[in-house]
Amino acid sequence: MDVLISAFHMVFAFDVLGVILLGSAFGLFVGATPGLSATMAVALLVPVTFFLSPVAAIGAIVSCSAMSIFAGDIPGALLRIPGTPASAAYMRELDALNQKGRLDLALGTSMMVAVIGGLIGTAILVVAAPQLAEVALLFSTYEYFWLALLGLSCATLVAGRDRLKGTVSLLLGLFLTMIGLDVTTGLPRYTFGLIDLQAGISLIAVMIGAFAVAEILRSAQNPLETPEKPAKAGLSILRGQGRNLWTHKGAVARGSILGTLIGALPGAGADIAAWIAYAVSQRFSKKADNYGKGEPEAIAGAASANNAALSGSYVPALVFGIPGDSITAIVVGVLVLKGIQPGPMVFITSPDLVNAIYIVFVLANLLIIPLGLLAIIGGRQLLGVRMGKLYPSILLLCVLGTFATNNSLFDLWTLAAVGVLVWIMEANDYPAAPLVLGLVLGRVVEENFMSSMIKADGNLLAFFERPIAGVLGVITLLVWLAPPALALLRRLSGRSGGRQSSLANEGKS
Amino acid sequence: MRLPDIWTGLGFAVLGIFVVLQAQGFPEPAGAASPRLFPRIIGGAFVLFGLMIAGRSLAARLQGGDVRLVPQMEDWMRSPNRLARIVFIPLAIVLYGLLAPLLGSLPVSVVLVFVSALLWDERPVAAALVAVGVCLAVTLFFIEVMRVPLPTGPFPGALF
Repeated sequence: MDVLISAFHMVFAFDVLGVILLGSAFGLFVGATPGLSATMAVALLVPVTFFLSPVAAIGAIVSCSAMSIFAGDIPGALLRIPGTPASAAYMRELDALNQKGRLDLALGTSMMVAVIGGLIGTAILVVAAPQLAEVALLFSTYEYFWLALLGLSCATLVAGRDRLKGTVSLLLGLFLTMIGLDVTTGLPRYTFGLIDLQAGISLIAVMIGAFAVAEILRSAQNPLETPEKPAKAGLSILRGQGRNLWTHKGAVARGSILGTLIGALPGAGADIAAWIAYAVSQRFSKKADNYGKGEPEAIAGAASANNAALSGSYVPALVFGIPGDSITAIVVGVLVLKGIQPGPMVFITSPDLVNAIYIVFVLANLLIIPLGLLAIIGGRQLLGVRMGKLYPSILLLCVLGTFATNNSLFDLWTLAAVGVLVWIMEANDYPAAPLVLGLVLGRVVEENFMSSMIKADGNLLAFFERPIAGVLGVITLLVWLAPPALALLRRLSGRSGGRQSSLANEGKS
Repeated sequence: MRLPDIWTGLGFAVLGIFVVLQAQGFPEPAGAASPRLFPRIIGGAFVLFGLMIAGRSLAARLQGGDVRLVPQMEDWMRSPNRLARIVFIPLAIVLYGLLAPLLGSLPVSVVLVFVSALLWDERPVAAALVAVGVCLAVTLFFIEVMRVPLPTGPFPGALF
């Protein structure tokens, strides 16, 4: 009980509440602006969090990301452009309802189910995280090594269309972590005599470069579009929502639980959760034929899932210190920069912090209602911001934010280089998320690998001797080896099938 | 900027060779874990996966697939406006780093945002208003709220 009271004290401080409110407002703006993603919003917040207490920093990130994921629905409904990728799955439904003159129903449903999804996700996080943390306490370096590697491996699986390229992107992130002083011996590696490189590559510069500068470059290469004036929406979005939600309670519950579970999987974020939840909702629906034509049930199933996924992704991040997606990778990075290593020990050493995070989640999700209403009412103005005003301002935030954290010019060179590199990589289907996950987890992987190697005296079999380590190791190897093995089998069976059919044809002729 | 997979794959393979060769020169303290081990694994994986990407692309070309060896011109490369916007983004970051310590963060930011807004097709008056307004607001936020010492250049402490 004392821990809970202490957590409430941590959250309900003037500065923390102010930061949560500002973080929400910022997330709302970025999420509602087409072309800017929730990850970009969080990356831009990182330099600010550098100067905040851990609770305020997490509060800013959680509220910003929760709000921006919901806010992505606003341009989806008003302009038929998803504000963030997480809204793309059900954008057709939002637009179709708008075309039918039911904009209020579209936005009202998406807003309310986002809140419910986020709260159900938080409830699952509160229940599951401490249980898993107890199991995680039994982990040694072997288990942590496999777990981090498994997380990274799964991230490459779902990060992009091309698994090979995802793996190369991950390797690049792992390589960047090796720059600086070696984790076990303290000897410099890949520093080329530069003092600036001894402390390693700045995580903040890489995150802002990868998720913000690269995004600006991508927008710069496209022709400029003048935003059209969208339709009006107001307080009417709340009318009849009680009955609407009750009608679709099954879809909301299913979407929320599914979203949380998908969010907890390494690599699968809010956008994947929304797509899967949409498909599952359609599969179980009695009105499956109405999907794609403006069916509120579809919005209820998918829009609850993407916000729930955000809470779910904090399960592996908090319990194991293994981020599940780009946003939690940034969170883990921020906590590490603040001297807090997420993992099961956090539940013992800082239970008040863990409880504070739960409270922040509840607050951030509840704030969606008043701030979301404001954004929907002011949506016409918000969506009318010209790109010529928007992108130079974001670039300025990137530059000052990166420079401010260390007052280091070298970080600016890193920012420019990573921005251009990731822009080129993404244009060639090399995804950015594995690079950042590799950079965040690289040290964890190497530290645990080296410690395990020392303990095992170089015997690789020791990595499989402990039961949990063995299971995790086998799963990791399966993740790596099963897809190429299956592809090979498919090719072989295709060839033999082809040969059989050609023989059959020869026989016929 | 779309590049042929053969070249990006080979590029990563070359990076892998560089990573491994550099690792050979790391000192190995007696009785400690080798700082060469992890870089060798990562470098080796770079070579392997880089060659796989290049090889896959080459194999597709040999089988008659539409795989080019030379990068193609893209729409944005033919548009001077878009090209200028793209070049100016990393340039603005570098220019801020070089000029802000000499001339102060605020004046440099205003000029960079102004030029950037012009390149994004804003009219000069609107670009100037955005530049001054946004730079003042962001600089004040960093200095006054976040207490971050941004470079003041020749006006030490005089600006705020």
